[in-house]
Amino acid sequence: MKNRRVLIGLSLFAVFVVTVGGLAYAIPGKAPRTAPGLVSTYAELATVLLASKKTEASLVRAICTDAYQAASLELAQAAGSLRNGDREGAAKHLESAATAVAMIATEGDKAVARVRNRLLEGGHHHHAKAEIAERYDPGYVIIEKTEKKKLLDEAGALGRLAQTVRDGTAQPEALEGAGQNLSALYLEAVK
Amino acid sequence: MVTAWKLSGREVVLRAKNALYRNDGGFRFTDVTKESGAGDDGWGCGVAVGDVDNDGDLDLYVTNYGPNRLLLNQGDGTFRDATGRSGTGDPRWSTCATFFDAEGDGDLDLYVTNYVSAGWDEIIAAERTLLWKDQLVMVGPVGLPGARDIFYRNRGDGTFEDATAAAGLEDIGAFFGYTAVATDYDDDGDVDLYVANDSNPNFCYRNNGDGTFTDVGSWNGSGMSGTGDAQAGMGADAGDVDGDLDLDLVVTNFAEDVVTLYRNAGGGFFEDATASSGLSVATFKPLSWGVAFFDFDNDEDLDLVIANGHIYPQADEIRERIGGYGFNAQNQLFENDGRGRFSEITADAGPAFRVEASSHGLAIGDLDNDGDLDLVFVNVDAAPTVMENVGGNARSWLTLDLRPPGGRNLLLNAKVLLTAGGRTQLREVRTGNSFASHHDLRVHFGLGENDTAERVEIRWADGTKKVLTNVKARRILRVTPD
Repeated sequence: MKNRRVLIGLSLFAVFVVTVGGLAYAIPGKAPRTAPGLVSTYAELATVLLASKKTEASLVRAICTDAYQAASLELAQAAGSLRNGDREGAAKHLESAATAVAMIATEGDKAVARVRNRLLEGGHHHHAKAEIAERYDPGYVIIEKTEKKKLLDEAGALGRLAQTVRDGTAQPEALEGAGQNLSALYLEAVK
Repeated sequence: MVTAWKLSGREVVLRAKNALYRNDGGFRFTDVTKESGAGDDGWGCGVAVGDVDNDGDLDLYVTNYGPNRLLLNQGDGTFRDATGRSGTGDPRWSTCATFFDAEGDGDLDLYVTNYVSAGWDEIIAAERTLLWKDQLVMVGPVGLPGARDIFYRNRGDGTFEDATAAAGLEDIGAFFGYTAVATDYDDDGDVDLYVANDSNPNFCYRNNGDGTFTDVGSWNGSGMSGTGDAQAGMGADAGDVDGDLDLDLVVTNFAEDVVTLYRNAGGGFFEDATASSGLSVATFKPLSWGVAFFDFDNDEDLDLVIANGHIYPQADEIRERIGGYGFNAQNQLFENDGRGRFSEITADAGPAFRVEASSHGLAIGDLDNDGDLDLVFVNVDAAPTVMENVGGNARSWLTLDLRPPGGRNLLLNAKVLLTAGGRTQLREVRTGNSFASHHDLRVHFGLGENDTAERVEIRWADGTKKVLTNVKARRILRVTPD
């Protein structure tokens, strides 16, 4: 919202500069140059645009962190349910954890994907440089392809663990280390 | 046959009607569109078939750019438009649809995929603005807003309600939806739903057992390729390709990407078996649409056929650069070695497979009742390609014509287990698979060299079973529930 106000303000200021003083810099006998007011406005706008990329990265990191925290909570609840002998409850928590881990991998759920699609529709690519962009799926901001694959594999492993918990073949210590493993993957992915 | 409109520049010069052809036998068909009342003139995209009013005959649901149509079979070869009363006339750009009984209450519910959200003025005014391999082409779907899919729950009184959110099927990402496959992939007795999405992850909605669903595609191995990539899903089918009696999935994708085979690993999980199945190289170049598992040579395993055709006419300008597949392309046939490994045999499959067209729709059926499965491809801007299977019936076969009496759905998602020569095969009855298409509902089995099926177990959609023993081969056997 603040950025939007700044952009509107800059736009109005630019219109004012062009209207009032823009032509003053087309002085006969002197080389034309861009009105300083327009240059400074553009400079302000550039600051906002560059800051918005940082904001985007921070926001996507927050989305991933939120998913990580949800996954961690689900894992803890799964362990608790298993300790209480509630296999079905534990399995459901593990499946929810799997979904949350996949959400880290995909930088959010399907609603976020819709936002990402909208940005792509508008031609916005967070990683504009081709050599960097290759490391990411289109529109992704912080999760690189290799980390995405590891996280999706972990999500699948948690889903399979849920299956073994549900059918009673899981070992009592099955959930031990799952949280640490996830933590390591998360930190590597969002570094 | 569902057809779209013809444009010249920005003018609609022909609002083509859909056509219904009556099979007269011997590959002769009669156009009965007019007398049947099935000739909707909407901008047609696809069709699903099912007995939605449980009166014992098959009804039609046609997807359109514009309002969809539900056409009820009146039992005398005519149809009446029940769209308004049923409440199923989604006005958006619908592509594919499938009927299935989500909650096991005996009537058929309806899932409809929607593609992009674009008004008529936008469609007509569209310009070529996307640079693709140095060619200026139409933009899409990325660059266009997606449209959400919809799930209609059948109230059982001829009307449907939008139960998308209540069923947990809300397409909150508004992904570009294409083929929906209603299949009990985890064999737990309820019907799940797999949806191929263009340029986004696919959905794998696991039925919770009560007609509500949980999307497990992000972690059960079927939502993205084995490398974690969201592909451009177009067509899809389910079938047991490796003989382990569970249902595997296949999804066709854009050009310069593989047709992905998801092997059912049991327990509701899938593994990307595209490379190990031999499909990677042969399917990489063409842009693929309709896809179907079928036993074309009656050797007791499911082979694979794929409909190909590019979306950009400009593909013809650079045909050599993109692997030889232009706007019009050959369709492909793959033979299964019985263990789920495929070899392409298109070049040896006869002159029909040398036809080049922009094929999208693909339907399978024994059109001449001779014991082997024939093919119909629906082509863009061209007549359909009808392929007669010549010689597929050299080996033994058995076709089951499942005929429940009506009253409740028993047919769609019925499963059949057939054992012949000690080998058991699995089939599931479905509609709306391949790409926007509907197959012959009769269940066809190749029996190899066996003259008899020792055992045939029909698991009707309501869970009841019928078992036949020592069934003589080489015939079409009508089967009704006990």
